[in-house]
Amino acid sequence: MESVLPPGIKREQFAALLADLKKVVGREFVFTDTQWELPAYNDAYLTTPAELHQPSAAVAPANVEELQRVLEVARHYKAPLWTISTGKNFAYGGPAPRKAGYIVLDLKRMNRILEVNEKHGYAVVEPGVSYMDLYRHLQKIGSKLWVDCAAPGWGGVLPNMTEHGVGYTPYGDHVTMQCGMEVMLADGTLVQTGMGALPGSQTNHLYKYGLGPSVDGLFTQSNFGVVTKVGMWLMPEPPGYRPYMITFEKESDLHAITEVLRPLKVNMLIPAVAMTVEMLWEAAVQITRRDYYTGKGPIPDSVRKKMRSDLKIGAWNFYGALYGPPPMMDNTWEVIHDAFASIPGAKFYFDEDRSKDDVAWQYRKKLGAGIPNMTEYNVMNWIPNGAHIDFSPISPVTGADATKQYELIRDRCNKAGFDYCGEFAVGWRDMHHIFCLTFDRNDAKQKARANKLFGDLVDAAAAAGYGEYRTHVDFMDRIAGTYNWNDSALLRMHEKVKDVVDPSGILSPGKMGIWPKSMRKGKA
Amino acid sequence: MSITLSSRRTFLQATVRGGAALPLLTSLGVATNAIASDLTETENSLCLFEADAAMGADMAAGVRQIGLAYQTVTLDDAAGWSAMLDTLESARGRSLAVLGRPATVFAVRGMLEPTWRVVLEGRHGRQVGSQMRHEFAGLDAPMKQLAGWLDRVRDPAQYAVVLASMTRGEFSADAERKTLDLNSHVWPGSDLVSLLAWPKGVV
Ligand SMILES: Cc1cc2nc3c(=O)[nH]c(=O)nc-3n(C[C@H](O)[C@H](O)[C@H](O)COP(=O)(O)OP(=O)(O)OC[C@H]3O[C@@H](n4cnc5c(N)ncnc54)[C@H](O)[C@@H]3O)c2cc1C
Repeated sequence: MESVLPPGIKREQFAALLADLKKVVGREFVFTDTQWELPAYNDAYLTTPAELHQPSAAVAPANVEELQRVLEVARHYKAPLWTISTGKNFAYGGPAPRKAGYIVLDLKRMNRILEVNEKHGYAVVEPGVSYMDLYRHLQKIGSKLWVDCAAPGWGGVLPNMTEHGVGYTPYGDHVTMQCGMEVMLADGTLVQTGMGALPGSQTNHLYKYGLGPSVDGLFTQSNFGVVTKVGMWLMPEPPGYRPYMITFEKESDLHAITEVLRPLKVNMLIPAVAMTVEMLWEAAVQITRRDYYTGKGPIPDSVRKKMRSDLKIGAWNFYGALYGPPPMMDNTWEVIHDAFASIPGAKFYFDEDRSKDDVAWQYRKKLGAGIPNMTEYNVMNWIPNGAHIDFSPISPVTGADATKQYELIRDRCNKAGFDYCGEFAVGWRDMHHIFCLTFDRNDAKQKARANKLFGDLVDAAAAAGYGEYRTHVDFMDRIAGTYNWNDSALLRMHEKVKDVVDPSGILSPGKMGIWPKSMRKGKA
Repeated sequence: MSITLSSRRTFLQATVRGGAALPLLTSLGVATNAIASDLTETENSLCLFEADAAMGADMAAGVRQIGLAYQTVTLDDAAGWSAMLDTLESARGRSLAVLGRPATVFAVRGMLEPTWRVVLEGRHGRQVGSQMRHEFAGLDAPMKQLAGWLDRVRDPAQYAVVLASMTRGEFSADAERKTLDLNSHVWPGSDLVSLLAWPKGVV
């Protein structure tokens, strides 16, 4: 791999810049070796050439003081940084920068758990704290608080939240559970948002909004600052936890499932982020495609039927959980059971009804109780050299919308020669529809087809009034371009903010389509 | 434990003669205790492998016999993953052999880099027909040594032992990265990926 330079920076300047960075963080934490170090900062799941996202260097400060000085160096040279925390954003770009030549700002070393407040139920963490770290810490101190983790337990509590990520307990909407934020602006100013702006505040992590505009959201999915600390509310361990699974026989049941679950969700009988999961997702975490089918194109119905019967899964599989004292769980279950029993062929399972070797059930059971694991990564074993990027439109919780989105994706995906592998994560009033577009990362033609399919899906979804909740670095401009109401008023506002808070344009240029003035014309 | 380049080299020079011959003897059931007892500082190498019933037990026996420390890896539970993190934390300065299914090894690699050096990655996949495809990427020297063993090992467990013994090799960091694709007879079980990783500072 050839080395690259940050855009607009000459080789001698780059050498001076690196020397300055080394003075700040030490030689050990400036990574420039294209053979041994920098590949770790690219995305293993790209559908585009790796050169498009190859960083010129990575720098890992240990604390806010070092971070402040790193930003000073970047401002001096006008060098673009790409902020990551734990750097595991796979399916959406991993640690890879939006463009080649950026310097990855790696915050993994800032990994202190600053506070666990058992009484009020929150933790305060730095960017590099993974779900696994927090879980281990809570176990060690004997805490009765739960983590709410994304499916991959190596992800970060803070960055997953800033990406609007989701978990699977009742605290699964991570942005909602964030309270109190510290953020460093591009000029090095450290800001406490909300109640934290009051010196000696007693309520920084208890009340979200402070006085005046609530600005925390401006620092999520954005490039307006570097978030250095957040408070996250943690759920106290409930007196009871009873996860359940309901399987449905027909593909067309998606409509009825969604209609049944909406009132249950809106009325909070289903408190957690529940999941409606299509059968291939269930299959992909535990078997390989080749175990059942070696032909090209989508898997035929007869084979799908055999898989369903072997794995004891449905065409759709609904996962939820009951939380609370047993009598409360019993009552709630009666309502949920009766509602879903109206769908012919529905089968109901609790833990005792599923096998200990049922990989899909076992990891969902853990996620519902906030126990981090990595099982879902098994989807990459589905095909040889498996990789995936996720297409994630938001859907209303209605049968008609769920079916429309499912068919919109399934049909295009089958036509392009891919399997539909997807799930709906049911939130407060919406569903995150996650289509896991799986391809062979050693097959250039397949990657090109996956890339084209993804773009087509963005356009088709937007035409039907559906937008994505986050996206891969390769599609940020394209998707930001679909949020274009009133001559792209929102994007223009973002650009105005960017120009004011980061006039040198050093922080993550191009993140979610927001470019600094100097790079706006040359958008890729 | 951190190891300086010179002490590491001294150690390697003392032990490299054990090299990859050792595991074959092991796999053939020849007593290797005498040879293994010659090896000093065995704690300097470590083997991580996926806790998979199909290959796990044999593999553990093999690596134990050549005196390597080992740790099983799992994606599935917090305790196992946590134990692996602890092992990696305490393994700073050791060399590592890793073998598991693609997703598992991807995850392990994600925890190693960029502070470790992955000197070799091997992707071992069943082909249509009765062939196994091995795609290696990394340094030439370990690649060539491993290539010689592909047809001689019976299954992943034996391969793991060969791989683990390679952690005792000595490779130059300056060597160019290469790729090598080879076929062998089929091994039982699923597709696998292997890694050889060296501590930063040694390579
Ligand atoms: C198999 C699989 C399953 C997945 N399941 C889930 C799931 O259940 N839920 C889910 O939410 N996601 C899921 N993902 C997506 C992703 O892996 C997770 O969201 C993961 O937590 C993101 O990586 P990270 O936490 O390491 O964040 P990072 O990679 O560190 O950061 C992600 C992005 O956030 C921004 N950022 C990071 N740090 C900062 C900072 N300090 N200040 C400002 N901006 C910052 C940057 O733009 C960065 O690119 C899944 C992915 C895969 C492959």
